[in-house]
Amino acid sequence: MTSLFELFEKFKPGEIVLIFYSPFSPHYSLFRSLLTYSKEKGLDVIIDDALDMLHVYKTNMEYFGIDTKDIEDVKVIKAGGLREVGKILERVNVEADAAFHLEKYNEVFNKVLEKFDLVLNIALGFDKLLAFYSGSQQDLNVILLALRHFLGNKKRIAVYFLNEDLVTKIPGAVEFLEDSASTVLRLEKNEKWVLKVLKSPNIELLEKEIEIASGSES
Amino acid sequence: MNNIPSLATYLNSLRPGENILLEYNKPFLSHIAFYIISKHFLNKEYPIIIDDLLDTLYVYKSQLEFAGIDTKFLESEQVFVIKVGGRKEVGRVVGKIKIHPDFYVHKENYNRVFMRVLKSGKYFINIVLGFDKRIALTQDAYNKYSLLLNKSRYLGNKKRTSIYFVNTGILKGSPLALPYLEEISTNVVMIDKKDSSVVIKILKSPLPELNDRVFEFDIKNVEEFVRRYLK
Repeated sequence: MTSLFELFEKFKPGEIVLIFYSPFSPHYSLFRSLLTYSKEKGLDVIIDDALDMLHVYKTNMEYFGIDTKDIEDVKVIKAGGLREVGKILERVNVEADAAFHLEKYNEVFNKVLEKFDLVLNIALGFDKLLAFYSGSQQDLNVILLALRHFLGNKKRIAVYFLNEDLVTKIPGAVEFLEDSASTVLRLEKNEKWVLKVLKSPNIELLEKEIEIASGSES
Repeated sequence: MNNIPSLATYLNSLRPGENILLEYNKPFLSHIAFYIISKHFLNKEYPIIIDDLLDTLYVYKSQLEFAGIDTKFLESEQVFVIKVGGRKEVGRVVGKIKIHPDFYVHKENYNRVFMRVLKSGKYFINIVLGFDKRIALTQDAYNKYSLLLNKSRYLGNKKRTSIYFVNTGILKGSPLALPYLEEISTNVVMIDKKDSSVVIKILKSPLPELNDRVFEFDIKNVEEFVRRYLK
């Protein structure tokens, strides 16, 4: 049985990792584990906080009894939203035009990355950006395509947290994202909650399931 | 059999700052749920802010009256109605906001009224009625998602606990809305009907013992429960 940290250990620089979860799954525990892992490894974390999702995560974690005390120290690039959580390095507005938004985001992201050799880049709210742009197929395509441009950027390991119930309602989005990513993980409920490996460069990990403690049990 | 007391216990377990999403797809009981929840908190002397979007409170009040239930509580000094759109003033209206086509203007208009009520320093229960219709009727995608994605704004604000009533059928035309609301809320509760039973399912709760709990009781018992809250 592989443990969560053993799985994280296998993430390589340049990878794009997707984590699909449902509104009812213990994704906050998983987020917590990633932060704890990075701390133990001395790996710098940068959170992309789109549309206040770090605020949603932190607040929910507080109610669900999951430790949040180091979240105020975490480095953040904020895209849109009003609620500031963590140490905000840079901020971009979410513009009505997706291409324009992306251009500004890339500029800021590259500037931040100059100061680091390697970061764990946790993206929260990318799915909400998709929702935000879902009224225009052209804007939606711009955001969907953006993911693959980041693939292979060796200065980062990117982990995208995605609400599966939401992304599946956008036609073609799940398939598009899975195609671009190098690793795809999914929180599933059997007897207990498990993280299942759906796609990975390490063939031996495929279909592996790792048990996740839920909510306040962790 | 009698799960009703545990339901009151559930309402008592809600903490300041939480967001509760109350889902239903058959609107046969939503007005009763509204009545029970309002009376429960008024009896505990918590003031209530009702966000009345698009005359939904008028519909609830009418349904309660058809069922022979007294709606005088809506005029109580502990009830603050913020009217968003619509024309029919019901209850003690403390603020009126016209729906502005630009979301950002609307947001600031609402915030001004909401903060004015919150400023009294008390802890409020904020019941939101008609958000489902507001989402469904917002044509422009940009405004629709701005409106939706702003819903986490007051999450964690301990001056209030909010309870959103949503008809999942009305949200079907905006399929991204429900998964988002379910995600940001700390509690998700579904009211359903099975034969002559009312089924209340706790889909999400910070209390592990409540997760996936199902309360089921005969519709006849609802009347009994309502009677208990009549005073």
